[in-house]
Amino acid sequence: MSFYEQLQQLDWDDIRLSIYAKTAADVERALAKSRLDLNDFQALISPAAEPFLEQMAQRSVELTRQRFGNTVQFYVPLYLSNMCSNICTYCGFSMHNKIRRTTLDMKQLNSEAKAIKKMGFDHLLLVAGESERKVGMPYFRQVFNELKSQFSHLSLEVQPLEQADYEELKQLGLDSVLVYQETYNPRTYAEHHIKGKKSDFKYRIDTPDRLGKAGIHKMGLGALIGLDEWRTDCFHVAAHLDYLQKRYWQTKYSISFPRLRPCEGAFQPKSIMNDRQLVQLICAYRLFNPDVELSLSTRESAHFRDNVIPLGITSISAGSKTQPGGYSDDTEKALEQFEIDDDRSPGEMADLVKTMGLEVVWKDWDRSLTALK
Amino acid sequence: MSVLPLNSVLSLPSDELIIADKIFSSRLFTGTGKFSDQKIMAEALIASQSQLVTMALKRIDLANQDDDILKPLIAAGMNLLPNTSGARNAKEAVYAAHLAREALQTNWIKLEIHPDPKYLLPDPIETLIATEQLARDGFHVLPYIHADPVLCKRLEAVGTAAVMPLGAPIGSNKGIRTAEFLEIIIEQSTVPVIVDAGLGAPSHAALAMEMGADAVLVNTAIAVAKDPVAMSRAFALAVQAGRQAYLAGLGAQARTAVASSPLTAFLDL
Amino acid sequence: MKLIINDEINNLTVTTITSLLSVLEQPGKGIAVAVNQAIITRQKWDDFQLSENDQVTLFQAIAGG
Repeated sequence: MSFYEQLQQLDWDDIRLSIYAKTAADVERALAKSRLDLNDFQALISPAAEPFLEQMAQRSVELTRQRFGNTVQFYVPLYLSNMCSNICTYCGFSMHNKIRRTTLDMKQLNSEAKAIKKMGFDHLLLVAGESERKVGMPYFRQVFNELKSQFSHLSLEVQPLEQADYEELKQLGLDSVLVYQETYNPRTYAEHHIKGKKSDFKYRIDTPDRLGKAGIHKMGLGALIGLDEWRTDCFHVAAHLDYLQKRYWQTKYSISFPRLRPCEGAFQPKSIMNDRQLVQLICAYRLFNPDVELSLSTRESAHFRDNVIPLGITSISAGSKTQPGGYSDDTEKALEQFEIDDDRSPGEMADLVKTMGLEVVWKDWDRSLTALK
Repeated sequence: MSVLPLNSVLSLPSDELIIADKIFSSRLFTGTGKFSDQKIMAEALIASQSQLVTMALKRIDLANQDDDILKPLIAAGMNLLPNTSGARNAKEAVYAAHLAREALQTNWIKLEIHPDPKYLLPDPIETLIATEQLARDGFHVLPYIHADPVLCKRLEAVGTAAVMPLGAPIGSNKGIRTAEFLEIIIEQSTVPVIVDAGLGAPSHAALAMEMGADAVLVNTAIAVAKDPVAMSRAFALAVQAGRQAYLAGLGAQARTAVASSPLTAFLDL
Repeated sequence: MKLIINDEINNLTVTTITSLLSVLEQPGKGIAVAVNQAIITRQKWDDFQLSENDQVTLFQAIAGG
């Protein structure tokens, strides 16, 4: 049974009630276990776990250091295009926003790549709005041909593609794909994805299966926190991860937890998650799955990042620009997808991470083995 | 990591075990070997309430006809699970499976390939090859394997109906010696996990069930007990107890939090 | 006709597997038959013609792990 089919058998409100019904005893039981199940995860993200936050954090640190050592990976997003043929209520790139649209040509792409290399990065996340026509496979082929030899790890965060496309891009140097479901509640999903291909909930939720079948090395999951009640949405992320790991056991997984921030659309989140709750969620993910990579972006404030990175985070971005062309020319703020909060340079971040007793990993991947045919 | 299916988080499942096309209410599977006589075997297996029993296939000894061992077992509602014991490679096992299907008119096969006559340890490479072939031939394959999590995933990929990792060498009665690996297998598996071999006491079977195994297979410990009938009842109770404990959610051993400077104090600033 | 049945040489006047099982007083149920290592399914027992020097192997389920 696919995850989509499993989801159809579940009732959103039942899950929400089940999370809110968890007690301190459920939390204590989960904290004492070495292998947690989805029930335990519900307990850890429930309001009942709030008094146990310090214990959760201690355990999270222990598990993270045990599994990942004293390291943090650095990556940076490269925005290829802000063209988009979707209308989504919360996104700065949404088609109905009257902003100037641009897509990097190969010359611009190379000057971005050059600027990014200069900052020290070797792991690159390629991001684009969802514009099948302008930013589709023919464009991606060009992009990968340009970048493959310049970076040792290429991730992609664009519209969902077909399995055959992923297989082809893998040959061209694609290492990992991020595809966030945004919300696992189909009704809420429909409210926010009003027009365009992204309004197809099923096609999006089936994407990780296509990635798994295509043998993509790593995939990233996540819910956009704020679209719906965050505990229930994040429970679905954990359940999705659980489903995927059983089926695509050779794949690596990462989770992100972007909180909605002010952007062009002036959208107001339905559910507000405070800092304490985000720490709770991060620790809950870590306790539930000691092996999953947890990623924290520059959406979050410097103060928050400084304190949370050691608790369980395994990869961070730094010095990010969320507008196409932003690294070689940072004057066109109007093009950006969302405003970043932590605007410290990668060098500053690297120095800071060292003071936390962690080593910066700029490169943890080399294609010399996977290039074997 | 979760070992429960997603929907069981919410509703208590009717606790039935489904393997391929069959539903089981008993999670104790039994074997027919090593009993002192067939009457005791039948009594013991019936007392176990097992619904799946394994048996071997041998050439008929035309001079000394055996009694029909099947009749009392079938009458007690048991499903027969022929095995391929004696096979030393994939080719022999596939042949044995087809013979068994012909003899017992069942697509179910317990795949056992042990080239090693001393410990009867299963050959993973031949087992994978045979599983793929037999699944293609329409069999429901239950392979006896070492507690190897990667092999389990490879078997799933070629269409195995379940996996049967060992707790300890067959007939050794040593219990769950492969616990670390069984836990990983149970965590990752999308097919039922049946712990087979090495379970020497009801407490071993209970432990396997508490860990989240879907079923256990017990033969020697029942067959060679002083009172096999009473022992098979003991195993049935242990399997039920272990299963119920698993479903009830075991409290884990207490872990003391490390006392150090608070990690979350920054949130109060 | 000379047949090698489970490694024993037998001289029997039989033509089909069905007639062979009947002569050997085998019930047929719970049995598998191979001729020269090829399994003969029970639907073919009535029609399969045995030949001189055929190696017939008869199997049955027995107790065993």
